[in-house]
Amino acid sequence: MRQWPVGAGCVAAGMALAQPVLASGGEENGSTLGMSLPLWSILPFLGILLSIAVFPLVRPRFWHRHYPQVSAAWALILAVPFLLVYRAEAWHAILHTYLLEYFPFIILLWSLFTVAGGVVVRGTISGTPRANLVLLFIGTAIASWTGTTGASMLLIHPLLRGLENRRHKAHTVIFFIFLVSNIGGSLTPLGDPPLFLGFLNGVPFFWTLHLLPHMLLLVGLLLLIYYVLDRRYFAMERRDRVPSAEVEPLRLAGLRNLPLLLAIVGSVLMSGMLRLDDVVIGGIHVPGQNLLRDALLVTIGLISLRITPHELRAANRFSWEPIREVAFLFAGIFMTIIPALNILQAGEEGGLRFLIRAVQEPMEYFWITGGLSAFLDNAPTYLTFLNTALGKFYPGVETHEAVHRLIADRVAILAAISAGAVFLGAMTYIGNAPNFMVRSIAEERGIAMPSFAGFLVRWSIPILVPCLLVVSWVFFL
Amino acid sequence: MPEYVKLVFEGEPDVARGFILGWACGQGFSLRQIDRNVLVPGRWDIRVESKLDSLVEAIRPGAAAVLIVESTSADRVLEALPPVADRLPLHLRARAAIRAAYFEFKYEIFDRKEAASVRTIFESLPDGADISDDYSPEERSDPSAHGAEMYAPVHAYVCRAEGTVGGNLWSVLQVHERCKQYERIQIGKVRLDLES
Repeated sequence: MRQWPVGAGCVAAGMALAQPVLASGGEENGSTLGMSLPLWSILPFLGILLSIAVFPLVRPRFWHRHYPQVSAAWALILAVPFLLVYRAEAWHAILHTYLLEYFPFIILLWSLFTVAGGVVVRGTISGTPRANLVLLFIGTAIASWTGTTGASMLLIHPLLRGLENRRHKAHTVIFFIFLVSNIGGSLTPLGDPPLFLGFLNGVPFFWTLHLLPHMLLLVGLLLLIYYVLDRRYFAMERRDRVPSAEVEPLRLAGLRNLPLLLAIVGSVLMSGMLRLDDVVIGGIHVPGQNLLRDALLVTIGLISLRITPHELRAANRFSWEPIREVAFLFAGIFMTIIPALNILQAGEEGGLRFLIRAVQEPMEYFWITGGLSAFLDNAPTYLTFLNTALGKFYPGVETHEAVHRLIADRVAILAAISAGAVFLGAMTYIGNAPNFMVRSIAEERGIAMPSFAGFLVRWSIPILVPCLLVVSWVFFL
Repeated sequence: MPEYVKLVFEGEPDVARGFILGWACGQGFSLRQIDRNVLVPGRWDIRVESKLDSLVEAIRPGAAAVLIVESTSADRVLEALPPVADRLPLHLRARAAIRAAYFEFKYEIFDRKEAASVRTIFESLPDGADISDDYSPEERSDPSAHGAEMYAPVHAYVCRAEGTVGGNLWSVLQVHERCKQYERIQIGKVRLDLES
């Protein structure tokens, strides 16, 4: 078994030690690679996740200007020695990851973002506790079908317009982040990126509907707390409430995008049901149905761009920047995550056996996946713990096959990982992509949003965590 | 400009407030006049005692009530107190003239229109109020910002400043109230500079 020399700088030594196992880029199970990869090869993965978590808070301008370079740097720190040492195996693993996971992931997010960004909610809600509650409920209900980013983009502006005559506003935006930007996305692979990664790894499209009871309980508790709190604030505001601006009835524009949204759902569903011949690209077998799905998603996005008037996108303050961010950052994440996933898939034979041994019960999977999802991005965290479970119970088994066995034998573990990654993404501004975006938009509308620590200490820990304790006690104990 | 005094009564706060507000109504003051002549510190976010004073007050037996009253009215209120002293458990403990008042503020605003409105508050202060020399709004635009961003959000425009507004109590309170209309202005409580 080959050993990767200690110290990433020892590339030359690594080259000398490298003896290709595979003569060509043929298929090989990741567990073999995972058994030989040293534990420190996951450092670039930790590095990029920490960069995403820390830089926006401590060096926002540097991060804003240089995040593509930071992402590329971490990717190269992993890729160069990895390719030099493991050659064909490494090339195969990288190509496999990008063709089967990264590109489909970005294409889906792009198409959802493009189509959802063409729908505009016009008008103003009254900003009363009941109206806000209804808007939060609607946002939560649609997030699984438009994606949490799409639902947030669609509804944050009407919500903020409705709050203009309110004195206490920040709590409504915070519950919007909890519910619409995170928890609402737990029912389909379209809802939240971790679940789509699960789908790409073999979790059936409709399996995520199993999270409905978990979601309903959590959403019910949070909406109840929100309503009580907002009524209290509303009553306190009676004395000095600004007279309400004209309330325009809500109406949807860009309705031509709604059938396109359904077409996205249909395309993703189709790829889970249809079986077409594989297409071999650089030695990687890419299922034909996946290529068809991606082609359809690109076409749907292009149609949306063609049929949506520019002013509708302008009304949504639509820009390509969010998708550009996802594309750059996840290019780095998908590269650097390769060693971690391979080591985890190797189970007890891999360098992360301590993690695999440490996490046993669904409750532990829920809180550990969730706890890390709160501070690192939840999509790679989901993949890490899904592979932890697969490596623990089915080491060496092909991923799709292992996922099916996990669903058959230990469904509570998959539910715990999925719920943990999605629900606890709401814990901090950095837990899930739309959280920061919503905060930014609210701040530009003059709302004093809490700091990173304030969000965690004054809102997530006292309100979200007790609700999550109830959910985990009911479903995962 | 009205001059004010701080009155500290021994007795229940509700009794003190009730007595003075009742006295003002009896004098035929309009609600607007009452609002201006009798200031309840909690209503106006006025900090009437230091943390040490609060601690001393907490361990001292008996309740105390603090009210800020316009000077002339205060003299008349205090004249009205002795005749009812046997029926009303309320006694004046201390009286101090208020020389000036001040509060600290800080803001960070990301919308040009809102920033313009906020700057107007501090650039057209009412007579009797003044702003500290360190007030110097800093504006910055970032052309590289692209609207709503998810992983690397920066605001396209930022206006930030901090300072202290001071002067006559009534004028300072007017500015303090205007600041309350803007969530993104962080304001401290109004502090009093008392004549010793």
